[in-house]
Amino acid sequence: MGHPRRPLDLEHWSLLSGAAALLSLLVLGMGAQRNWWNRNLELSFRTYSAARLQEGMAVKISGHPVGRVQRIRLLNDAQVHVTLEIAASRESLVGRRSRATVTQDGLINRPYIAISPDLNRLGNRDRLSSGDTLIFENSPDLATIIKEVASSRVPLQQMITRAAGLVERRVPRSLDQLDRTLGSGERLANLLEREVAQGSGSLQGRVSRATDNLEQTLSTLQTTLVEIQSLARSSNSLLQGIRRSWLIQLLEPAGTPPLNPTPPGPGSAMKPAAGCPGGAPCRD
Amino acid sequence: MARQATRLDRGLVGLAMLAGASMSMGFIQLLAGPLEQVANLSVQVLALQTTAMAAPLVVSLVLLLREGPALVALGSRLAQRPQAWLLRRWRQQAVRLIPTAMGLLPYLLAAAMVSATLTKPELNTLTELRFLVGNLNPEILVLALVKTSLFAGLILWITLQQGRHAQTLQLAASAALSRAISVSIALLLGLDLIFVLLLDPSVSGGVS
Repeated sequence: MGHPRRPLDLEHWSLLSGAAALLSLLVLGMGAQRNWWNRNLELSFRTYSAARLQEGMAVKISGHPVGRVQRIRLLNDAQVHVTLEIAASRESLVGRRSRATVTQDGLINRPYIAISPDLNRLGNRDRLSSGDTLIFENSPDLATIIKEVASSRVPLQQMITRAAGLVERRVPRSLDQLDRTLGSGERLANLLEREVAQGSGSLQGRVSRATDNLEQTLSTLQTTLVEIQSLARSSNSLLQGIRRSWLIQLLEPAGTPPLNPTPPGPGSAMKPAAGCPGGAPCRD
Repeated sequence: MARQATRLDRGLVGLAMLAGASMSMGFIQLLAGPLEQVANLSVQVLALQTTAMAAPLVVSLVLLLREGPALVALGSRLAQRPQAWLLRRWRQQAVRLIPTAMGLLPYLLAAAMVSATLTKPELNTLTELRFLVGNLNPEILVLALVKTSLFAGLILWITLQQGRHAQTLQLAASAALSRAISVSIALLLGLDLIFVLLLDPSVSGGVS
């Protein structure tokens, strides 16, 4: 075998190594999707029917995939034992109060098992361990929902028929009444508008006449006040003249203090003297 | 000379990758075109699973057509030797041919994934590749590897046998090659049909 085998072998082994590397990547990728490389928590639950359950179906918490269904077994008591694999990193979200249900997003997506998180046990030391059992709650499947909708269809249709009949009878009558009411309201509004237009003209005349009268009265009153003021002034000067006359001074008794040469102001005649209560003449 | 009869070279890898890419792209075009499937990721996963199922046949046929003439010639040269000698040669060739065939499979699947990602992109390329790899069924991959190794061993046996048979009967090498190819294809298709019919559909048919 003297032919050159080395380059061929090198090519062969390098391409074979590439194939092995690609295969390893495939296995790694498949394992990552299936949690082969993570530590898993094994939980289980029991149910009366394996309908919609399938090995390998996703297990989600809050819509996020955290594991898969590992095994489904039919027990001797006709119950179904379902074993789940959940990533150990999500272990803290699952607790004694968690519930497992079969859920489906939309009508055509694949169903999955939804586990409700037990947030009350965050920080609690009472952790679930592998082999623990979850509580399974049956969720209504599509057939049940359709059946319920079908059963409620007849009463709903009857109610809609009755409502339609009622509307058919009552609505035209109500519309007539409403039409008449609206016509009456329109007539009333027109009448009020006319009356207001008529009454506002006479009212405006009366108000202007009253205003004129009031202005005249005020001017007259002002003139009267001026006359009263001048009359008071002349009366005051007359009284002063009378008080200074000799006839009045003769009639006054002796010992009477002489009159103030200056006449008091209009306010001082009414004001009592200081130190003499009640306005009585003060004596020495 | 005998050792050079089968080899994993760039030509074989290129053929396998071309086959994988064209199969995957063809399935996707079929599903998204005439069949009007619009869920790109589902279409890609379906195309990839189908490619993985058909990959052993494709790899075996590529091996048969590329290495068949050399193997038939080797068989005719070994015709003068006793049966035990042929068996030993078969073992030597099998040690190379079967890993070669199995090594072509990852190249074919990788090309199928990349072409699926490029034909109907839905996410960014790396995320989509990870999604496709994650959705590849492990049972299908293992079965594809098993079938590929089995088919490669059968091709090797048939071609060596036909070469030896032709030498014994003084037939032309081309006649032996033609007979080896037809017998191999018939046997491979028959075995693949048996795999599909007898094994659990969840394993052989890709229904997960």
